[in-house]
Order: sequence, then C-alpha cells, then structure tokens
Amino acid sequence: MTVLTFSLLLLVFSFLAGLLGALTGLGGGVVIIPVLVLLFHVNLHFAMGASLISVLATSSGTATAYLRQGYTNLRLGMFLETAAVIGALCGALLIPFISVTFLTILFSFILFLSAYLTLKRKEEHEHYQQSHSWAIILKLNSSYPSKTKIEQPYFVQNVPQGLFVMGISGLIAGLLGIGSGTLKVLAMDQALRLPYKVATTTSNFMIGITAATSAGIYFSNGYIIPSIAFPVMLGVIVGSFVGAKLLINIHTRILRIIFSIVICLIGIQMLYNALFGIA
Amino acid sequence: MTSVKKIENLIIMILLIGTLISISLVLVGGLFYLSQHGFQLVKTDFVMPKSQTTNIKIIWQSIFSFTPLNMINLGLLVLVFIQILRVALLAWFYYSIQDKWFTFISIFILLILLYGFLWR
Repeated sequence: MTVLTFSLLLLVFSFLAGLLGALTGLGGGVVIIPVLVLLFHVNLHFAMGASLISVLATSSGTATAYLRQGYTNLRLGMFLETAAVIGALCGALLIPFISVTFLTILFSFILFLSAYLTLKRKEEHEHYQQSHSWAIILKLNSSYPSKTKIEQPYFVQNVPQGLFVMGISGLIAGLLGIGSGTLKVLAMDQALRLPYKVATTTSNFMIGITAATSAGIYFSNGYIIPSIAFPVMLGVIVGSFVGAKLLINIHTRILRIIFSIVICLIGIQMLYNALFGIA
Repeated sequence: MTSVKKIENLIIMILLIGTLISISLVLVGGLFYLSQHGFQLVKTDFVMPKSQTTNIKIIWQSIFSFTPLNMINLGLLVLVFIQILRVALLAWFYYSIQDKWFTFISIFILLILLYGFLWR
C-alpha cells in the first residue's frame, strides 16, 4: 500500500470517527484505535497517540458550534472537569498497583449495563422542577434550544454522584487510556439527569481538556507520529464539524441508540482484548 | 448585547481562529509530505515502536526547520494549545464576572494542564 492510499483511507475512517464522536460525545478514539490496530497493524501505542489527536480534534471541531448553539453547559463542564483531572492523575499513579486486565473486564460490563440504562431512560417523561442544592449554589442549571426554538430549562440533579462518576471516569481514563468520554456522558445522563444533547455536547467540550492533560506525555514518549496524525486530525475535524451541524436535527432517541450500540462494541472489544491479551 | 455574551463570543472567535490555524498548518504539512512521499510504500517505520523519547522543548526547537512533518507537529501542538487557551480564557471570563469559585476551578485545571503539557 502506498503512503497516499494509506492516508486517504485513514482520512475516510477519521471522518466517520469525527462524525460519530461529535454526535455521541465519545471522541473519535472509538473508531480510530480498532482501525489502526486491526486494519493497518499499527502499534497500539501509536494508535493511542492518534486516538488522543482525534479526541482533541473532535473537541475543537465541535466546541465553537455547540457553544454558539447553546447546548454546552460551560459551568457544569468546568466543575465536573476538576474531578476528572484529579481522577486522571490518581489513575496514572495507580497503574503499578492495579490489575489492568481485571479493570478492563469490569469496565466492559459497566459499558453493557450503561448501554441498557441509556436506552431505558425516557427523558421526555421526566419533569424536574427543582435541582440539587449544589447546583443552585454553583449556578449549574441552564437551558438548551428545543426544536420549537424556545429555550428549554433543565434542573441538574444528584451533583455529588455525578462528581463521583466523573472522578472514576478520569481514573479509568488514566489507567486504561480509554473510556473518558463514555463515563462523562453517562454521569451527566444517568446521575445528573441532563437532557441527552446537553450531556453529549458538554462531554465533547470536556474531553479535549482531559486529553490535553496527557498530550505532553504522549508527545514526549513519541506516541504521536505526524504521518499518522495528519489524516486523522483532518478527517476527524471535518467529521466533527458535520456532526455538530447534524446534532440539532437528530432525534434524541436515535442518538441514544447510536451511543448504546457504540459502547456495546467498545465493551466487546475491551472484553476480547482482556481475555485474549491483544492490548 | 450583555458583557457576558460579548466575552463568550470573543472566546468562540479565538477558539475558531486557533482551530483554523491548526488545520492550515496540518493541511499544508500533510500535502507537502504526500507530494514528497505519497507514492512510496508504507514503511514499517511507524508500525514498530520507537525507542527514543523526546519532549515538547525538542519538538518546539525542531519545528522551525519547516519540514512537512515538523509543520504537522506544529499544527498538532497548536491543537493542544487551543485546549489550554480555552481554559485560560474561561479563567479570565470568570474573573471578569467576579465569580470566585469558577475562577479558582479554572486556574486549578489550567495548572494541571500546564503540568501535563510541560511534563519531562
């Protein structure tokens, strides 16, 4: 295969990764790592480097659009990010003491459960009129644009639980290098009971910051190979621009189904890797 | 337009410009790289792990030699820098509206980001 063919194929896959990442709040790594490792036989560390770039690109590609559209809850994102970065630091420190295989198996089962919970929630039937006391003190409640163009207010629930899951999300991201976006969306959807589009867009805002925390380490270890990273970055960023435009018109139910399918696939992949020692 | 909205729009504008600069650098570097190596076979060079380690300072120093791969690296560093800038702008934003809690939170995240970026 020539370098040109490789770059063009990677560009197409990265576009899809960006599109999916923008819609689900997961970042593009979900697609990028399996494509690079299984299809192109790229070393896992370099695939993780490309995945980090794809997360940064998704977050950058969507940040301005989602801020302008009024979906992203900046205050909530920044507040929850404190637990995520502390978790990520603890995760990096705990690497020598924890069985990664056990954690990977456990996490894959958490993903299957999460897929079920995501599909089960019917937010259109929930009508909260009050929020958790922390949300009032920290002014975390906000509103988002509905299809009728009228701002729909929402009230943030269970803030301590959300903060706890966010810390775990950072911990797992620090230990496994994956799963940060997944648990962020879940914490906001299941614990904080946010509207789904607010959860995915706020996650998209946050994952870039979490990924940037590890960027220096990835660059320093030589995991980021520019000849792999350039088609990934360009494909993902265009895909995420398109995804951000599509989000407004996509029904929340469809987003929930896409998210559940994707996290089930990640779960299967992680379980397979843990049991057969691929990663 | 409220002052809060003005600052929000300024942040959006700066992030957009930063992203466009990053895309331009990676695109130009990538096209130059393909024009030079596009028809070569994919080498196992990046498939095998490299043993040498580097750091941001070394990457930064080599960037201005303007080879295609160094241009891509510069674009990628700009992409990382945008995230740091995003948090820094928010810290300034919360400071400007005198929100002490969120100024503290933003500065805390900013310090962790800088530590991660300048690690080693």
